[in-house]
Amino acid sequence: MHLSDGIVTWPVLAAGTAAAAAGLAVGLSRIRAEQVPRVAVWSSVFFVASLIHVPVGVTSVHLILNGINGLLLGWAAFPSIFMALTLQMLLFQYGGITVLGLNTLIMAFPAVAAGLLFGSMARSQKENRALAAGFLAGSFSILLSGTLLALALAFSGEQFLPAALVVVGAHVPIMLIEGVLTAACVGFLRKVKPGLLDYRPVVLSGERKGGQDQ
Amino acid sequence: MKGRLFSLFLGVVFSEFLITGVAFAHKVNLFAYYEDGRVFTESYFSDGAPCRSARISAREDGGQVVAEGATDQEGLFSFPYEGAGSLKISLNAGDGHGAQITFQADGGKNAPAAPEKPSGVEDLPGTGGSVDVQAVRQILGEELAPIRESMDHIRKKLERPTFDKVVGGLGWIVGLAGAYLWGASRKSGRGKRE
Repeated sequence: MHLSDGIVTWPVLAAGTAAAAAGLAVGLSRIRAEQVPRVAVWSSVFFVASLIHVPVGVTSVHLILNGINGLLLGWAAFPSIFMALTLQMLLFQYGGITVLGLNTLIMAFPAVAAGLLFGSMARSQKENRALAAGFLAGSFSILLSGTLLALALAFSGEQFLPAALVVVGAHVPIMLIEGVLTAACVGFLRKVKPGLLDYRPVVLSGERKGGQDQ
Repeated sequence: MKGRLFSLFLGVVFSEFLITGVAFAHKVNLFAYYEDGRVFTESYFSDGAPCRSARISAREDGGQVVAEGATDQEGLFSFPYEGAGSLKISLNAGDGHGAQITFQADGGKNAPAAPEKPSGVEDLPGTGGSVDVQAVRQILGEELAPIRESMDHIRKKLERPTFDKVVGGLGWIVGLAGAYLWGASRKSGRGKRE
């Protein structure tokens, strides 16, 4: 789901880049020093996930894992995904330099939305509720990413509905796979390390308040 | 614990990546070559799957459209072109994937010269006799076919992300995070020994 260079028109690029920059700024301002390793790990996961591909009919799609990024990082999913996309662009030539901002927005905004929508549900005491939140976060973020991508194409002269059907249709299996993966991850974390399910800043005892926010 | 947990997860993700043998679709590769008055293009996703029914067009330097159409089931598209100069060939798969290349058409200059004698037979110096140029060309074409195929194979292989690039990317993330943390710890003074 990486947009290539030269597909969308420049107003769409400009708007997408501006929105991504804003998201990135919010994300960076929310990261406290203690959370940096966490962001880096999920950035690595996102970076590698795109290399796992699932054949779907005539085409093939790859894992994205932006839902889990948003669920566990909140707004910090922006810097996490931006870093992974930048490296994918530089090392694998996925996407392109002009669309980097727009691609970040398409991937990271749904992640943040999933985190905000399903975050509290994922922290629920009831296991089924938490697992459902994981599944929903995993699949909803893909759905929203596909829709955003189709919108970007629609604003560039493509027909929205056919583009959306192609993009979202191809990603239905990924939505299911990532839903299950994210749910499994939530289920595992809530047993082993429930604190990780909460990306909101926590003031630990004996620690100065405020952290190192910039 | 946290670290062990994540390395486990990363390990699972990673091994899956190794098992599936690296195949994916994030970009379209577009490739063109010239043969016998036609420009042949080939397009495929990064996992090698052909890019079917994609819109493709070729423009000359002046912006004039030389050819327009859609790729077939094998991701192929070809069009006649006799001119010389650079052609901008762009492909749009319709789902956000696309590619542009500039192709230097030579108008057949690099192709073997057309036989000057109508019979297709000419004297070659040193052979002491005559050679059927058409036959030689055909034989050469057949002999070179496996080489073209293996070059195709190598080209496709080169375009795939290699393991060292993946590891390198992960190293970048770790390094940048470390640099950020170092900077943060220096600023807060917590990194200094007391």
